[in-house]
Amino acid sequence: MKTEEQITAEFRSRIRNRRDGFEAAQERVHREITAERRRSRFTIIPAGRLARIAALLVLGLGAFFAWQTMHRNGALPLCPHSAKVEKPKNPYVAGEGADFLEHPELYERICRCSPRYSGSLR
Amino acid sequence: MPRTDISNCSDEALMLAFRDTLDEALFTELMTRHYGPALHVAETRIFDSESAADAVQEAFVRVVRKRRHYDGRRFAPWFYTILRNICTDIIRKEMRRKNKMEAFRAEVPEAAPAVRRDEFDALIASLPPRDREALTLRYAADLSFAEIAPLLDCSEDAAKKRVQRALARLRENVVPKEDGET
Repeated sequence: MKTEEQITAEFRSRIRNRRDGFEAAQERVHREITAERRRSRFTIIPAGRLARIAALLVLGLGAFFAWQTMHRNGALPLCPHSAKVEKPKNPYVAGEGADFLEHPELYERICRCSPRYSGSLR
Repeated sequence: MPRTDISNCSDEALMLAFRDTLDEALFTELMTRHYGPALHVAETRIFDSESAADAVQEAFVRVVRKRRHYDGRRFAPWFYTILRNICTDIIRKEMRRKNKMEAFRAEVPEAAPAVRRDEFDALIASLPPRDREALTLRYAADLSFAEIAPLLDCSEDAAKKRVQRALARLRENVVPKEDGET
């Protein structure tokens, strides 16, 4: 007569030895581990999702301000010293000399050349 | 970790080492230990061998992804909770797709494991799914009744009763045949 231990032992071995679909699972886990290794190789600082989003936002803002500053510095030579006219009031307006002449209200007409040009920057 | 030591390690030690090293051999050992019981548990919940295998696969993948959250607690209850959540998701998806659970159950044969090798397997399959799940968690996954209870959404006593009922049923049906043969 089978004891309870024998029955549970047989049950355990039946259940534990089941392998239907094991290879497929192993294959998928292998792919996942490879992907995780690749991901962790490019992760310099381990951080959560929110921290990563925040870091990306800061980087994005930094890039935007850098771009804006470059844009500003590359403004139009309008004074006789061929220095730069000051930033447009509207930072999204990119113009050429003709644009300044057509829409002077969009530009701050201050010459910072040295020596300053005393005439009118129009 | 030397390969010869892997089989002697506890699940927890393997999982902690895997978390830190991503060593595939460690995870394969964990999979080998838990694949069968997990498949059986998934089948008792989903009633479909293919979907059950998918659920187990997904559970192991999720363990790989969530390894950083593992803090050294008992591995088996953590793993079977993940599996249970995946099974619930699958059932919900199926219910949404087919609009009602009854239609889903009617189309899929009740409690049909992929392979039935002999009468003992058939007998296991004939147990009520919840009792079978309790029995699997207790004797194949080696969980305590306190660990089984939350997985089955019942009290510790109820879990114990389910296991006893399933065992009694197995005994009733196995023993006379064994005696008759010998």
